Amino acid sequence: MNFDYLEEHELLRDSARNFLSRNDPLTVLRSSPPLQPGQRLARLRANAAQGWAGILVEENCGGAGLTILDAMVVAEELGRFADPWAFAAHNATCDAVARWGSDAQRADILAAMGEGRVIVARSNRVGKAQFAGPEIPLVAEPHPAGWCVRGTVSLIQDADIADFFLVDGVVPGGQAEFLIATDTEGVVVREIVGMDVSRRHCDVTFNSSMIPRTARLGNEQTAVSSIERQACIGAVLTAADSVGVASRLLEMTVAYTKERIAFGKPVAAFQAVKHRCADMLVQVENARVATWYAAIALRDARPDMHAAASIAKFFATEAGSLVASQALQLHGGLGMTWEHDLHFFYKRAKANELLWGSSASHREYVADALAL
Amino acid sequence: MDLELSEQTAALRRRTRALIDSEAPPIRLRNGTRALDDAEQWAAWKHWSARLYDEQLVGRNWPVEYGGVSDSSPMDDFIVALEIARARVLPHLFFATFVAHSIIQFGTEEQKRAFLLKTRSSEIVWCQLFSEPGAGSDLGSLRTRAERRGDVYIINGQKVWTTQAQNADFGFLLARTSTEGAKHAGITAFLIDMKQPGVVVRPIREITGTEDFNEVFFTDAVVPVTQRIGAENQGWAVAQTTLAKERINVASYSASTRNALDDLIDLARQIKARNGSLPDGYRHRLVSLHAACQIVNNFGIVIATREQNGKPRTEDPLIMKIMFAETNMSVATFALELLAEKGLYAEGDPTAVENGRWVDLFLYARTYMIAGGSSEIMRNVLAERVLAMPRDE
Repeated sequence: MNFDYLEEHELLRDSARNFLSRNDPLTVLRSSPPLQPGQRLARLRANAAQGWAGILVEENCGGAGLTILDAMVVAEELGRFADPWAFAAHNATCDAVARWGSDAQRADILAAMGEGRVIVARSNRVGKAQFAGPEIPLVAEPHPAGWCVRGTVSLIQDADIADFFLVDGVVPGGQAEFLIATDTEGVVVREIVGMDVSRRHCDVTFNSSMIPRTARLGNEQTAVSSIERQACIGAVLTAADSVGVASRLLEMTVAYTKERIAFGKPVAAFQAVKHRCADMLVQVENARVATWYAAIALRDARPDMHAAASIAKFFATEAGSLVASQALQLHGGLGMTWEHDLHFFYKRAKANELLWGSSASHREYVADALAL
Repeated sequence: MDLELSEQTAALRRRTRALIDSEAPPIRLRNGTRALDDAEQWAAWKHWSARLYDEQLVGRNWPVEYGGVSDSSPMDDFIVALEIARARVLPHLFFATFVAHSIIQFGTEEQKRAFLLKTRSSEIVWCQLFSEPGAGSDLGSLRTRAERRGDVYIINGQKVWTTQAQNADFGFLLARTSTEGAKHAGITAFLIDMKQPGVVVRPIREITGTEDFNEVFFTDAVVPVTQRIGAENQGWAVAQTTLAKERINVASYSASTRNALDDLIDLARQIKARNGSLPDGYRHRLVSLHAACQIVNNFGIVIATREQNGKPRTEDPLIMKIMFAETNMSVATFALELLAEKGLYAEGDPTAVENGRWVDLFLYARTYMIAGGSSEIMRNVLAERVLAMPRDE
């Protein structure tokens, strides 16, 4: 029994933090215009060069052959620096291609994904959409040459710089997953105007796009479990991202309250301020433990791995939002400005809560698992 | 990172379970640390406590010559504590844990010989005399005086919230020996004989209607110098060091909350079975409680791991205590909501659900947010010691 980072996790965390502080994503977020495709590609490749793109790619495909725990360590650091990379989606798709991909798909795509040369994008949302549109459920009709795909998939992060989309849709008799080249005819990528200004999301429409038979990932049996598994990976890594965001916000806030003088002393000396900061610390540490447990459960395929991922997702992302809310309050008017960096983290924390399944949907899953 | 027990720890856990199954007294427990119903139960508890020590399931980290084992480990201690708590049976007489470690760390050889083995065997039962009417979370303000007169100290003052004072043979006492300098600097630790004329114990009737704690009055009570632990005015350090031993204890606290929540979930399922469904609001709140409970329990394993690896952190037991106390309170609060009008029937009423257990939990739960350093003090300490925010003037 060892429920704490091992030395290898500490090394990975420290090297990630070190690299990201030397190559601070905030410079790309603050630039005008921000987050241009070239900037995001450059950052993605720099991150990939650290070995982070290949964490879940097996060694015989050129990857690191590590586990979700290692990805979680990196995800927390990427959150701490508000990095624009679609890391959760990347790992979900790596795992899916490795698990269900044909030999050709694995040979063509997986190794390149692990090196950051090929980008497979997928939606950062899961489950049934609460509102109609822009989401139009994807339908794939069989066709002599393959499939004809229609529909709109919302919130695909970095769709504008991707090489493939991993999407799921309805096929006669069930559900299927497809790896669709982004330059396929009839594919329209629309960048959304988003609240989260630390990442770029797009809605992607498939206008009767023709795709080859070989574009299908897995078969009739695999789609449902593949989608569930990706949702778990996305949930755990988004939870970890929120832990990183929240720790950073706590540090920023404690530092600021020590500097800011009011009524003749640092506001950090007021008990009302101290208690808010202590509450933030409690939230951060609990969110981290929830996330660790979910990652271990997923790695070890424990029977409660789905429930653990759901708990981590709603608890850690809600903790992130609570911490962000305290941080904004304690920064006072300064935090309300675009000029201060706080807003990148504040918005990202809220986005994490809304992506990869709402808190309500995750609570619903756990309630069912508890037979309530 | 892994959650598998080592073979040795798993074996220890099996041994604990076997002893519980064969020997734990079948006493129905109220929530928290409570007085028992009668002398017979009390005798059974003393015997059970001695058996746990005999079998070296508890007190494992004591020196080997005083009953400990040579290869004790914090993780093993944690797993045993957890197993006992999850089994819903009485633990050992754990009020002795803190004084025992003070004696082990600061005591003379003579004191160790006089007290340690008799503590394991329940021949000596302890109580802890720290809190006072004017010194709770602000323990440093305590005013009970100890005045040296030749070979003895004369004790005058009052303690409060003393668990088991009515049954204790000896008390672990913090008293003021000096009023000079910082308030923490004038405190000394003693082992005081409770069975003497100068010590009067008076039970307190609490919000639960039961009498579980006591007030203790000292009027010229006597403690021989040989029963002082550590040097004069070193008491704060003695108390602080032993608090470190409390970490593992804190780590296993939440097992009782888990037990309560498991039962509450069962109760909710029964309500669902009878009514066909549960309101979504209830389901989601139970899920939130389940999540909080799982996290607190896992936090306990994290604390035990760090203790095991020799890397304890200041913040962990503080965070654990805040979260545990609040989760426990939330479980108790929700229990009465779920019971609705049935939540009014208390212990003693023939129709009360589980003999008023949920009412008792609701009334008792606040204890953990007040005792052992209130949640507010925990937050102050987190802010000042961990986040390095300025100290209160």
